[in-house]
Amino acid sequence: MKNLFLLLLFCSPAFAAAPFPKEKRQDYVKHALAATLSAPKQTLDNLYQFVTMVEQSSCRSAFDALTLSCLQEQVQRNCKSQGGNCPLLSDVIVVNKLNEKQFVTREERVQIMKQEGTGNYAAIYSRLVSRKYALLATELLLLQKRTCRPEEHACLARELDDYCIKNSDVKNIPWQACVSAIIWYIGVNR
Amino acid sequence: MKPIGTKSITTASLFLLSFGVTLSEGHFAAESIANLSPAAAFSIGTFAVLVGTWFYRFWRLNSTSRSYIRISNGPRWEGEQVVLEFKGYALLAGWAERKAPEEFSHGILRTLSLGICLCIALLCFNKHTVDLMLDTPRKLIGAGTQFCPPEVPEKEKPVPKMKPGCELMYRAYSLGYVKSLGSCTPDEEEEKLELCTLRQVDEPYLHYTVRLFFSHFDHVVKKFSGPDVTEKARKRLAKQLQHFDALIGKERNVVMSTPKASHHIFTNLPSPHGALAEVWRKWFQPNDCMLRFKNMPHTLKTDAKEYTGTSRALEHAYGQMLFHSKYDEGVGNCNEYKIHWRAPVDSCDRLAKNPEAFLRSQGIAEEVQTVLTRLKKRDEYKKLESDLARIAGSAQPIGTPMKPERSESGELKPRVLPAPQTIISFQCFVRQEKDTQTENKTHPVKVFGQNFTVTETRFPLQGEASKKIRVDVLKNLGATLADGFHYTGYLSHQSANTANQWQTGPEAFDGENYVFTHLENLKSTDIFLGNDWLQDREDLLEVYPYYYHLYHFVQLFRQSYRMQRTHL
Repeated sequence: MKNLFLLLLFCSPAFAAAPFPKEKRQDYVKHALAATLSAPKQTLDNLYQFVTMVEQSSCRSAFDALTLSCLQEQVQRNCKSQGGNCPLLSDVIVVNKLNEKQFVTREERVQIMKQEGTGNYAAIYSRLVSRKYALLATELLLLQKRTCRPEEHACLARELDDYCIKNSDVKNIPWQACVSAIIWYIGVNR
Repeated sequence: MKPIGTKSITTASLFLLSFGVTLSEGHFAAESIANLSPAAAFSIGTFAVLVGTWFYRFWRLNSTSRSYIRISNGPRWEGEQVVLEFKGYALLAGWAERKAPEEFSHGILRTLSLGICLCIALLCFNKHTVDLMLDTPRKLIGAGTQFCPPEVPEKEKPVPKMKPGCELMYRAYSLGYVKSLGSCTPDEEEEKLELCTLRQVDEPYLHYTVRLFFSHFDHVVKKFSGPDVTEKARKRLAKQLQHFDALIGKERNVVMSTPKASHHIFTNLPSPHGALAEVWRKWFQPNDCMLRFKNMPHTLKTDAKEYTGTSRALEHAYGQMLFHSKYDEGVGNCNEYKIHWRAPVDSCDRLAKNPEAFLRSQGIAEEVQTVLTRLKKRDEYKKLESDLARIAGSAQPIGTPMKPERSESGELKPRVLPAPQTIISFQCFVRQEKDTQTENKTHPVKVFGQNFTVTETRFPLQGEASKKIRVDVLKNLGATLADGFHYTGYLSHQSANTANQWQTGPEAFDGENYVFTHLENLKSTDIFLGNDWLQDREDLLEVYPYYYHLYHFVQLFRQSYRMQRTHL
């Protein structure tokens, strides 16, 4: 009887239609958060430099879809040799890289270029991106229903998921961009 | 007739006069009161109470009048003066020395004095005047604090900037191979010389005040001197009197916030909030639609079993497509747009058959007529402005040239010119009993002497009610509101994929690793361009970047809509 119930459950359209349900999603966020928090700063820096370099050289394209598939390929190849939490960390970094323009508008980029020229551009741009991530993280902190302790990754992942779902419905930042930005900000500024 | 005290008569007359003027100017209309700013409403209340009480005390309305007025056809009393006489009846005025005249009660007189001041306040205070009053202290404090910049010695002429791409030309010029730089000649920035009329750094206040006074005096003298001033003034007055209605109408339209457009959509769907809530909104929250539409979420998930699901989807789509400011600037003022819920199924047929009667039955005939009148008066006013400019001898027309509207990114926003057909529109959005979508129908309609084309969309009973995101409502509404609108995905985030024949399917989101990166594929999966499989993936819909695609849809719709509809 129990087996029949399980069979029916697995064959039900609802189950088949949702291979990425909420619990699984929050679990993935939890793992990504834990991986970022536990990774040495040097590893984070190296991976970030790698993704930035690839994005600006071999994966540079006018089509976002092309850049995405190229970055996916490069990152997977890179992580094959490294193992560990590389896939999770690279996932966060790639999404952050692809969504930077969602955070820093074209007007803001032009403004930096006008004020600072090309010499100091990279440093100021990265500081601005970091400030935008900080704003998101602060808003999450202010709006979260439960207060999660720093080691409670599951609790933080739940809050993060809820916040980013709501955020993507009222603002223009996709869920994965919001989650990755906050994870990165928490991980880097631990 | 008994003698009546002059205080009572004067107060009553003043009240009737001020009340009549205020009423005729439209200040008692609900729209006019609703449009008062908080500061203006506060000023009106304060003025009415304070000055009204002062008026009552200053004129000593609480004591009996020393003179009276009465109408009599009999003998006159001692010392009475005849004011008017007609067929034996005389209007007499006299001193109340022997007998105290009749007076209104103190309560009535106090109320009348408050009423007079309230009417005066309504005539004088509005958003503009109150803002001016509030701004005056700041202006006075700031007067004379701006100084002319100190003179600087003439700088050396800066080296002109070289034009990019002209390096070879400059080299050839310096070597003497060419004699002219042609289009590569550096642009010289000419300094604009202007006379500074601000206060000089070492100028005393009194001198600055006198200088300002005399410069204003000179300006006035210049304006009123010269040949034919009287003749010009006479002609100007005659012209203004000839178009008195247009002049007064312009002021009245501003005070009463007369609608600048009137766009209506008739649907047989029930109101999403219930009939009672609609009545409440109409009477108590007439101006809060902008706030409602401003704070809308991008998505609205409806349930197939929900009775008002489609209505909610329609209202949500309506707000998103026309007014939501997150998708670029809205196309108009939401107070000038209306969805008529529970309208008859054959609304468009009725409108075509007997337009004026149908509009009256829906309670919008007056509004439509007002907008048409406003358009007519506007044209008349423009002509008057041009005539007055001709009389004054200035270049005509004196009106400021039309400033082209630009979007946030600086692109020009083309917009159709105001005409009856562009500022007034009617559409029918009907859910039919059949489960098939029929093509849009158009009905030619003549309303108050103007020809209109009414679009009717009939959509299936169930349609895509079971779908989580009602793309069908957005698309149908788009085609109803903007004739010929069809979302092709031009410049959509999916267009690159489509052009290169890359297809993003459900398999793009499989896999345990790189979940965030997989979800990036949703950015190139436009739900408005097919991709119906997404509707069955609730897990993906929950994280779908709806804004990303909806923004495009709404922008394209608004471009098309602006070419068909506008406001005054």
